[in-house]
Amino acid sequence: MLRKLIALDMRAFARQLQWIAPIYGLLLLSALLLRGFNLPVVGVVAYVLALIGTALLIPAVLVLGIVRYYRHLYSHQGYLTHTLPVTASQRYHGKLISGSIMYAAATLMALAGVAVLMMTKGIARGDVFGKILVFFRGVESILAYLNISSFAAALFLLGVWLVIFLSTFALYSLCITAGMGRLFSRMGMGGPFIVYLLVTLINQVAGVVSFLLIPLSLRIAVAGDGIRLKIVVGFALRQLLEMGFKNQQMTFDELMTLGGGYVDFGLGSIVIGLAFIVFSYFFTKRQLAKVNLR
Amino acid sequence: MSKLLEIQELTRRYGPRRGVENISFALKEGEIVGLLGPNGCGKTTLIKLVMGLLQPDSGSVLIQGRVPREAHHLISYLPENTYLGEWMAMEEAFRIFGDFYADFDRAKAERMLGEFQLDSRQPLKTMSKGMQEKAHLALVMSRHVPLYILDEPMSGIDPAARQSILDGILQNYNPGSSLLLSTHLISDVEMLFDRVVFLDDGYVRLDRYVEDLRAEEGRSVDEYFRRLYAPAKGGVHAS
Repeated sequence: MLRKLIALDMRAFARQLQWIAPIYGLLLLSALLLRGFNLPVVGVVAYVLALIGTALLIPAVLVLGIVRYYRHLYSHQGYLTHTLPVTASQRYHGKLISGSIMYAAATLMALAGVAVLMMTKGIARGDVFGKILVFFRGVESILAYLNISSFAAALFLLGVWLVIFLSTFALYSLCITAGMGRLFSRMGMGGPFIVYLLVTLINQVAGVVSFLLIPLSLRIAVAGDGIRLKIVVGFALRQLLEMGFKNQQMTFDELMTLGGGYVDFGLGSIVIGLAFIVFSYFFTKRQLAKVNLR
Repeated sequence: MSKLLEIQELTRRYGPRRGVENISFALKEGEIVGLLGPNGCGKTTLIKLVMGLLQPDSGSVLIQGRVPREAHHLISYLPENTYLGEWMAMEEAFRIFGDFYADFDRAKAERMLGEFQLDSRQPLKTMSKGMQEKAHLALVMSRHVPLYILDEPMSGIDPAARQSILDGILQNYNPGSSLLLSTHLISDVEMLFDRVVFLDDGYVRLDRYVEDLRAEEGRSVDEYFRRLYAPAKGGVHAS
């Protein structure tokens, strides 16, 4: 049944993609041709439009995910979704998995877009992949400076990419589900916004508290020509207090010298963020089983 | 006949306002029950509680001994408003029902749609309210289930379309199944019912077999309903 729920969502997504994909493709193609052949003004305009389109692609798909979550579960379509012979858990996982597939599709489209935009100037110079090669060389030197392997960097980026989606999904699924629940039944669409404000406030406070109470930090230390990153058990606040709050305009080298060769950044807020994702997962799944449609 | 649907002391409030209050009744297999009452008396609330779309404050609902959220495969439900996406054509709706309900009879649905002179490729947003209601009815009546629940299937529809919908229900209803139909348009459908349950401001005001009611009161259900809900004229008392 989960597979069928995902297929149902994907059909709806494909319908939306029918509009998004051709428009985005057209933007990229016009940028590639007009800027690629150095046409003044229109070339720049096409390039900027394609750049904006690329930047908006992933946020747009995340927003579509929010709209779809609300529509399928809490608008009149909820009367169908909640009476299908599937469990609340399957309903939740269906939205989570289909959302992640759409996010992955949008990411791939955006990456392809970035590659196309990098190629635009190279076409006129007869060096199509020049900028892409320069980009990868730049990445290589940054990784060498940070003393990180390509594999570790790829894993880190994949993790960040996944956490962005999971935290977004955790936030909107919780806000909509709780906001459309019985407690906020008289507030219409205002319910999810109120829950969003409450959750944001709690997350902010928890972030500050976690900085004070969770002894986990990212240590950035000088190592030869580059720097070394390491996760350590300890309060970043301790070093901050030792260093004092005198000068906020310090250079990186001055900061390192003052910190005794390293600087700690507190990771408590990241721990809180991950805890929120776990909390939202169990809370929202449970609430979906006790729906109160209006 | 054994009990198919059992509702016991069911209460649901919306803040200070009463939705349904301490309602108990049972539906036996093969019975056709009319859930009747004026607008706002709690019919839709009761149906939503039976479907698990609302949670009760107290009391219980059991469908063949299961709680609502575990009994969706036993019920074919027609809500008051459309529950399909407006962009959707019936072809897509048939696909969804075929995917999720093993008991969905696509051939029957297509035949019903043909009888209603509707095109399965026409998007819902281009259909009139009457056409949408017929399309939904084709979908819902094409499942083979023990219980059909239809919430106001004829409200806001012209008399000709109403008759067509009524025919659709009569011709496609499986005699072995039970039907719970809510309406305030009683005269159109009263010949369908074995039993009627009258709701009033969240309470069950009357629960009687139609034959008994006609014999004892000497009136049609519609006439009885009109008298019962005419407070200024001193309505008759429910037994």
